[in-house]
Amino acid sequence: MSLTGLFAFVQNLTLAQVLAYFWPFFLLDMLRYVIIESLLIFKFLFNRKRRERERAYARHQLFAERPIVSIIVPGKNEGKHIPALANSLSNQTYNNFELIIVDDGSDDNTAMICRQLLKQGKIDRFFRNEVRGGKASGANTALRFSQGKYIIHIDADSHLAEDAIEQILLPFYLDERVGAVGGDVRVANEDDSFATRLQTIEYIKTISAGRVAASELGILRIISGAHGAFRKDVLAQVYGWDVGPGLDGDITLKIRKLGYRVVHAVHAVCYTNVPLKFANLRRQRYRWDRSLVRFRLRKHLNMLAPAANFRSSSFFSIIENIVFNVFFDFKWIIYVIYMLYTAPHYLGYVFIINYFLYFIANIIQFVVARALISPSYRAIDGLTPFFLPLMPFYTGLYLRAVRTYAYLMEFLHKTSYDDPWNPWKVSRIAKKEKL
Amino acid sequence: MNIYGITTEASFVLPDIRTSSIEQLLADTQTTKAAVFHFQQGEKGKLHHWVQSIRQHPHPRIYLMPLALVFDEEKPPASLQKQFDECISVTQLGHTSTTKSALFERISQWLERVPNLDTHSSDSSIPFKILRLMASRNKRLEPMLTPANTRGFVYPAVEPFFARNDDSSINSLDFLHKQQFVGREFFKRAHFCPTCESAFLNFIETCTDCGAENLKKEELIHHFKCGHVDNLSHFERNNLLICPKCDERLKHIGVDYDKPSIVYQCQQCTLQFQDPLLKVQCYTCESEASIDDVTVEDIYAYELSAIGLNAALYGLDALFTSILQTDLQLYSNREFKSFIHIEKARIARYKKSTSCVATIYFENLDSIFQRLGKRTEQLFKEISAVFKSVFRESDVISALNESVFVILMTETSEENANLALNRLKTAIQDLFAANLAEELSVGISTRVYGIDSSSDLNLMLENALKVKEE
Repeated sequence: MSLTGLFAFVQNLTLAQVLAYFWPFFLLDMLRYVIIESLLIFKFLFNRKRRERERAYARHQLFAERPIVSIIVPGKNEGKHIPALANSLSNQTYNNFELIIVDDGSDDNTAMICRQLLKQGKIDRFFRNEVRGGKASGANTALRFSQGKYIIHIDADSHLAEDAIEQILLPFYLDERVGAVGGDVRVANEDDSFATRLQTIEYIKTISAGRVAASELGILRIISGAHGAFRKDVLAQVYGWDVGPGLDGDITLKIRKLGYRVVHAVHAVCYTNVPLKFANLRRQRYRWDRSLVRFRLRKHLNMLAPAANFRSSSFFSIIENIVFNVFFDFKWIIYVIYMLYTAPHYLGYVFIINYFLYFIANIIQFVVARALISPSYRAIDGLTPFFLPLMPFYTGLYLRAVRTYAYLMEFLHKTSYDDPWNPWKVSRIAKKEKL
Repeated sequence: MNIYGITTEASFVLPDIRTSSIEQLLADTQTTKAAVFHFQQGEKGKLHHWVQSIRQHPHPRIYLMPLALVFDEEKPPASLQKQFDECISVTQLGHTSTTKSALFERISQWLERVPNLDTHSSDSSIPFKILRLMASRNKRLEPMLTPANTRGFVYPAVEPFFARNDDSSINSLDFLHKQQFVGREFFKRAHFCPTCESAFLNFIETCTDCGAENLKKEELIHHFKCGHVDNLSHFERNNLLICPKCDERLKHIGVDYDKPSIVYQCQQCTLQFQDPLLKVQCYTCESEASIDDVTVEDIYAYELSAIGLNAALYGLDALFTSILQTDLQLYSNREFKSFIHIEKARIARYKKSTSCVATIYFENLDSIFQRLGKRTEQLFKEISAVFKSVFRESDVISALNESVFVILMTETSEENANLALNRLKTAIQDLFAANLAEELSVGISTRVYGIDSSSDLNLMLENALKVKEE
């Protein structure tokens, strides 16, 4: 293997060989993540320009009506984050909101901190559940006591950009069929570690760009727990959140089932702290990835059936999700076996070329995504793009390995039911009832 | 109701002892050793009044008189019982035909130790009387909760000392404690109205928003299976718990559902919240206050201290004298006068000796008590050591009163006497300086008189007292 050998290999490739050796990239990843996604983003940018007037009118309507918005923050042992969160909310452009904190059985000083903040008027309502019930019950408790027309769910360890509430509410006024709006989630601790740099690029690509594209296609299937807005009447119809993990994806599907549209508001920015270490990141993803199997393939598989509430967009949303995330996840195993079988001598060359292809794809994706979010982009130091060369390893190897492992474990052992993320009493019931 | 005065220290059996009247009892400071009250129903007021008139009497033999209460059937209220040294039912009395109270004995023995107790003795200070009551019975004063006064508690044993039912007993005990005559021990912590100090407070949970008192309390239910959280009343259907979200029946708490918390709903403004605002309303003055403004005070039980024991015998300010008495063998005034007389005669007879009389006056001595409390005894002991080192065994020391001392210094010239007194003064002042804060000065004035045949002790003593007046 040498550089000249590599050039010779590339020069001698026929179109058939290119497709044969690099089909996963050209037929699937490039098509899906580079070409289609970029086109959808251009469509979004074009539409946005075109609908500027409508947006201005929607904004006018929002501020004329000034509905109460309930910002709900359920969590356990999150007391230390609450003062910063409350402060970040104090200078919102839209300020007719109530901040509801639910303490889900914390065993630290969360209750003390929150009661203090309540006295100071920094938070509006505080509810404490003495016994932990899990994220869903915390969110439902908050929902139970909220008075707003819209509910914004945010995580305690995140904070909002100044116009985030305004931005996330606008889609409701642009289209009355919208039942829920996902807010954009960006990395707050971008420059903290190697892992957070890579996650920054990943978030921009998959959340900012990916969800805009999905939203444009009408197949957005997840609203982040860290930042999402819901119509209160819609939440009332679905009776709030079901038992998690992955309850944010679950509730999105439930809302879609009712026939409401779900869109992504890319300029409603929420900054969240991501894991600093790869070990913590691995655990987080392991939990997230398992929930996909549990909810898409178990709980909501009935959305594929041609029932009364069948909607093609929902159908495609799920199919896309299953195909691209679950099925195509296993394609790399097939691909490696296939390559071992067809071109065992060229494995090194194929690997290097694949790396370059994915590297270039990452650059294009990043540039497009960066252009998309530029109006609401907050630069930290401009060093993050230099981590792009590592992205193929990060997404292609690291995350893929974690995901494959998570899927297998969930398929075979239903391990998500043993996750300490939910209290044991809840997990036990969920497993028994096959939720 | 009958009252019986007991004159002998022997046994008492009700029918055997003579009936007395309260007036007789109060007039007799000599023969009556104890009193027995026979309580009959409906005479609480009269009983209390009689006990009051005994305890408020100025003579120690009367106000310290052991009191026993005998009752037929109805037991008098606890607060009344505790005003007595003994409380027995008639039936108990019958079983033990001769009941001899060790306590009564103890009290009369203690009274014998009190110096200068005669028919004209009279104690006017109520704190002092309390002290003596405690000392004579070695009594611990414990508070008792009561709805009868606004503070919500009383010290029943000392109540009869006071004409009115107010804070006086608490203030007196506090004074005694500050003077270190009694020690105290935590008994209970209580909340008092910030306006009128009343203990009778109504704690009200109010709405955090509109302040209304009409709140409805409800439990929250969390259904594990579907994660639904709502008020208990929303789950109730036909005496069953049915989840409104998934229509499933909730059977076992802890298994398929639990009650994570409690919420209040304001019936006025419908706000729901978990931490109602606590307000306090006083039953006495009706003023309202926030819970943070309520006064929290500790209530104590009191016990006599060593200083208190001494002060009870010798008077609140006789501690110094009593210490000097034991350490230096103070002579009485009468004895001192005799010594002076002899010395005058001796000097006149032999015309060889020169002797002096020195007077020492301590200003502000009582302030030391207030300042030093328990440590006073220690300081006085040290002063008496100074006395001992300065004066010789041949000197005769007597106390005119607590603050004025006269010393006959035999075979001492006026010059030497002054030297000695200056030494004494410096030493004592050093002691004071080491023990007292600067703003509190104890002045010492001294005078020396040479003795000759013409010396008049009365004049000297008068002069010593004059120093005091200056």
